[in-house]
Parts: sequence; structure tokens; C-alpha cells
Amino acid sequence: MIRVTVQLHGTLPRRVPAYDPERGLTISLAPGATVADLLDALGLTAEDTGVVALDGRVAQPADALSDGARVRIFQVAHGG
Amino acid sequence: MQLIRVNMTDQSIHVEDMPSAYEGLGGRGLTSVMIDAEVPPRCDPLGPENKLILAPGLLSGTPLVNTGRISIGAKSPLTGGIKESNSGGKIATSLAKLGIAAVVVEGQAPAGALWRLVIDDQGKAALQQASDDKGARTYALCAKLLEQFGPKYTIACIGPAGELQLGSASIQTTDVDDRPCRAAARGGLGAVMGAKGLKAVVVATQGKASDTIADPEGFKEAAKAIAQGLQKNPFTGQVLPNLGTAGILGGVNAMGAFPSYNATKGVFDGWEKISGEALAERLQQRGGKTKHMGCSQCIIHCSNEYVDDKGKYVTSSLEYETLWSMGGMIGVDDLDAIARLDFLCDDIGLDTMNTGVALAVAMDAGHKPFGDGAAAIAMVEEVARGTDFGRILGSGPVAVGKHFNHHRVPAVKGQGIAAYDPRAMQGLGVTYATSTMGADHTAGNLLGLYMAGALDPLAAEGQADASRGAQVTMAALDCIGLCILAGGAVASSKGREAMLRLLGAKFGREMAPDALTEMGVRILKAEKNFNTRAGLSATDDRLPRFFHEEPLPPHNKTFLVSDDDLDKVYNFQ
Repeated sequence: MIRVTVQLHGTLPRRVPAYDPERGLTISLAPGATVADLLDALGLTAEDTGVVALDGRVAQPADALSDGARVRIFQVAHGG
Repeated sequence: MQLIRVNMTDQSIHVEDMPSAYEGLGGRGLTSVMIDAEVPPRCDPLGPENKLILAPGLLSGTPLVNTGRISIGAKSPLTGGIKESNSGGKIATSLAKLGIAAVVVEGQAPAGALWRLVIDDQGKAALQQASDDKGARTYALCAKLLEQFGPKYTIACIGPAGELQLGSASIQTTDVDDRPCRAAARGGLGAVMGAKGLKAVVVATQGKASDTIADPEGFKEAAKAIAQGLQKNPFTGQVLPNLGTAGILGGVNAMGAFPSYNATKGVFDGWEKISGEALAERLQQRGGKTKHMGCSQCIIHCSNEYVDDKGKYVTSSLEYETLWSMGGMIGVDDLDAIARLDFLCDDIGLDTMNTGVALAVAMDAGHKPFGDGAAAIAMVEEVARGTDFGRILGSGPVAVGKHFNHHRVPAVKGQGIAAYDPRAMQGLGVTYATSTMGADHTAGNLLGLYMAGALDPLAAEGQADASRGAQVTMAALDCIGLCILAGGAVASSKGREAMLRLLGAKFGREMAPDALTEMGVRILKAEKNFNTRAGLSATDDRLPRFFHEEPLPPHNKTFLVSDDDLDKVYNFQ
């Protein structure tokens, strides 16, 4: 298994009971898991999420996650 | 609907029915088509030939939600081209309810004279001497005028920057709580108002013009569909009411597109101190408001009220663009300093964006260090005092760049960019370069496409077409008077159909499926026609050289869209 640290932004934290914004979430996934697998594990749909930033870069759904990766998830937004 | 023409030269006022040439137009559609038809394109923007036009949207004053938008138009002293600057508050709904399609301010008062225009609850307009208000800042002015006229009035006004006729001068409008914190900020229209000798427009909010909706029941039904769409959408229904527009800061920063330190970095080190999440936490701790209604007819409530550590009001609303221009762009990660700068700009009557970019250029040139919030506050105060440096700063980033002989000036047609770097969001670069308005994110923002993964923000391909589409849609929304943040409601085919049904119900005729596109294209063509006759050409539709030459970390990209592609954006089929 690999472990990734996830930080949720916008109103996403409200969907996870007892979410701690300082520490984020630690999620265990199968080796070779992708960003899409992570979103699946969190129960997030394409409508919920927008940018997934992986170690400071913008990630694509098919990008593989490595053990110890830090992931930030932001909601879809429109400019104003 | 009627036009009120106010001649500042002889203080005469004429009321006329809407000319047939302008039928079916409101908001930006009306201001732009009218300016193209009536303003000599080569005129001095600060002279008597220019016209300042205030027009509520086509559907402002109707039961449709989020239609409290006013378009203010003129030839811009900042860009040298046509300008529509958009604001919220109560004035659009108020004018529409008085049956007023536009207030057209013409001519020029004698030098030194200052007037206010008052429109009462019968829609009758009168000019009153306002020499006592000379030099007044907007908060004190509005408090005084609302005490004099009573709470059933709303105001559009200028501050000291407008009276000084500076290129970054805004026109401030009062919000639902009667504070002049909403702004038609861009393009120096406050300077046009100041040049006319007009300090304030005071409008009754209780107008009862006869209902002009041809099919009220059909309208109601379609309006309900739009409102439900906004409530169900996660962005307008959850993110904006809880975090405001500041909620997008983290995402843009994560995409490396948050222009920081005068657009030399795409990620701001201190972003977590000024993000929407940090702002909401601060306001919750201090008893401020994270959710606030700023504009009439609004159901999104993206506004907020920032308070100090004693719980006292500082400003409203602290928006994403200001958190950028007075934050990351000048290296400041202190929310209290940013909030103070936001208040000062509203109070002095300045565009927070153009002023922030001007500060960033000054800091980049070595005038003051990045990150020095106190220095930024002191510099903005200089604008109100009218010092030599204050006048340069208030004239915008290009003036500051010339003063310091500094090359890195992130502006197009004289107007500072917005909070999306064109190297990390290439399509925003297309919009900045080609928009008739100068660098203006609201003219065609592609953030939603990028965040949804529908378009690669770093590649040149597809950006010109996407920008053209967004510019056409935005022109139509600005004509209708729908808030940009509610624009998502008409993005789907279902939403678009609902909007066509609304327009059809309003005018009593069936709308063609491409009516919104036709509306947007008509407006953009009029604007382009004016700009061309004003002397602007393809060479003005370009980003500054440094965007092509200096890669932006972390993606280390330059602006890649070709000049040929830029020149095709306004080739409408």
C-alpha cells in the first residue's frame, strides 16, 4: 500500500467529518494508484473537483501517485 | 423605457423615449452601441465631446435573480478606446424600476464647478450644486447624502481621484447597506465623471414604472429555472457564499497562474495567509461576515464584511482580484493591510486592480520593497493628497513604468492585467490582448474551462477560439445585466434555453436559438469599430514584450499564442 496526504480546499472539508485543515487526511491506496483512484476513494466527482495539485504541480486524473505524495484538491471555479 | 440626457455645459436635462436604433439593448449593449454612434472616436476622453452613460441591464429591475448590474460606458482616458465598466449595488435595479434605460451625461461643466444629479421616485432628474462636496471621499460623501435624501436612495459617485481626473479613478456605487464599496472600477471612468463636473448621481430606489414584461408567467417560470441552477451549482451554491470570490485563489495559485511580485512568479509563497479559507477563518474569529449580500436581486451572496481585531468594519467586499493586486502582486501576505488598501481605494475612488499593478511596478523598480504593506498604504494615500507621485500612481501602471523607466509593466492598452497570468493561462492572455477593453479578465475568462480540464491552460492551441466564445458570451451577459458569477447558469444548453425564454417573455416574441451570440457579436463589433476609428490597431492587441520573453515559474512558460491567432479573434463568422 502507499500512503498519500490530502488537503481539501473550498467547501470540500465540510464533506469529511472531523477534517483537520492543519494535518489533512492520510489515505492508503494500492501501489500504482492514480489521481482518479484517489478521487474515487474520497467519493469526489468531476463536478466537485477542479485542480488537483500533486507536489506543487497540476496533476491529471491518470497521473500515478507515489508513496508519501502530498495532494491538494480544489473545487471547480469560474472567474469573476 | 426612457433616456435621460444631462448636458453639463448648460445644465439642461432632456428626457426622450428610447430611440428605435437602440431597441433591444441594455447595459453594455446600450452603452457601447450608443458611444459608437454618438461619441467622436478621436475626441478627448476628458473633454465635452465624450459621453458618460449609465445603463442598467436589459433584465435589471425584473424578478430575475442577479440582475443588479449597471454598465457605465464612455471613451476611456486610460485605454484611449471604448470602455464599459460594470458594477453592482442597487443603482441598476433602481434606475430600471424608474423606467430609465440610461442616463447620458454630455458636455462639460465650467472648470471648478461641481454638480450632483438627483433622480427622484417619479423619475424626475435635476442637477444640484455640489461645490460643498469638493474633495470629499466616498464614504463621507455617501453618508452625508443619504442623511440628506434618506435611506430610499442609492448613489454612484467619485472620490478625490475622479476629481483629479486620474486614469485609475473609479465610480463607486453604494451596496445594499448603503456603503460605496461597489465599483465600476476599470478604465478611468471616474476621471470622465470628474471632467464633466459631476460628483454624484443620487437615485431613488422605490420606482414603480409599469411592468414591461410581455409574458409575466413565462418569465417567472424561466427565472425560477435560472435561480435553481445557481443554487444547485457547487460554485455558486457553496463556494461563493462561504468563501466569496477569494475561494478561487488557492486553485489559481496551484495552477501556477497567480501573478506575484509584479508577475515574476506564478505561485505566491504566502498564499495560504490570504486565501479564501484564511479570510473566512479570520472573519469567523473576529465576528465579520463571510456571507453577505452586496447587490440587489442577488441570491449568491458572495460578498463579505472585513472587520478589524476589535470587530469594527474595515471594508466590503474583499474580493479575489484585490487579494491579488494588493496581496500577491505586491508581495503582501497580511490580510489587514490588504483590507485597508481595499477600503482606501473605495474611499478615494480608485480601481484596486490598476492601483495594485501600479504599486507592483513601483516596487519592482525599487521604489519600495515588495511586501511592505505600510509603504503601499502610504503611497495610495498620496493619490488622495494629489502629490506628484500620487498623481503618477493614480494614473496607472504605464505612468509608473514611464516614471521609473521600468520595462516590466503588465498592462494592455494602458490597463493593468488581472489575477491570472497569461503565461500559465494562455487564453486569458488572448482576452487581455484582444479585448476592446484593454486587459480585462471579465471580458472573457476561461478559468472554468481550465479547472474542469476541458482546455490545457499552458498550450497555445484552442485559446483564441475559446477566448472569442467567452468574449461573445460575456458581451451578451453584460447587455442583459446578469452578474458574471451567475454566468454559469446560462453555460449549459438548458440554462441558455431558459435565458432565451426570459428574453422572449420580456419582449413578447420568440428569440432565435443564436440570439445571445448575435447580441454579443453586435456589441463587440460596435466596440471594435469605435476603437479602430479612435486609432487603435492590431499593434495595440498585443501583450507587453516581457510576457513573450520572461518565463514564469513554476511552469517556466512564456506567452505562446501567435500574432496571427490574436488577429483572428474578432473575425466573426
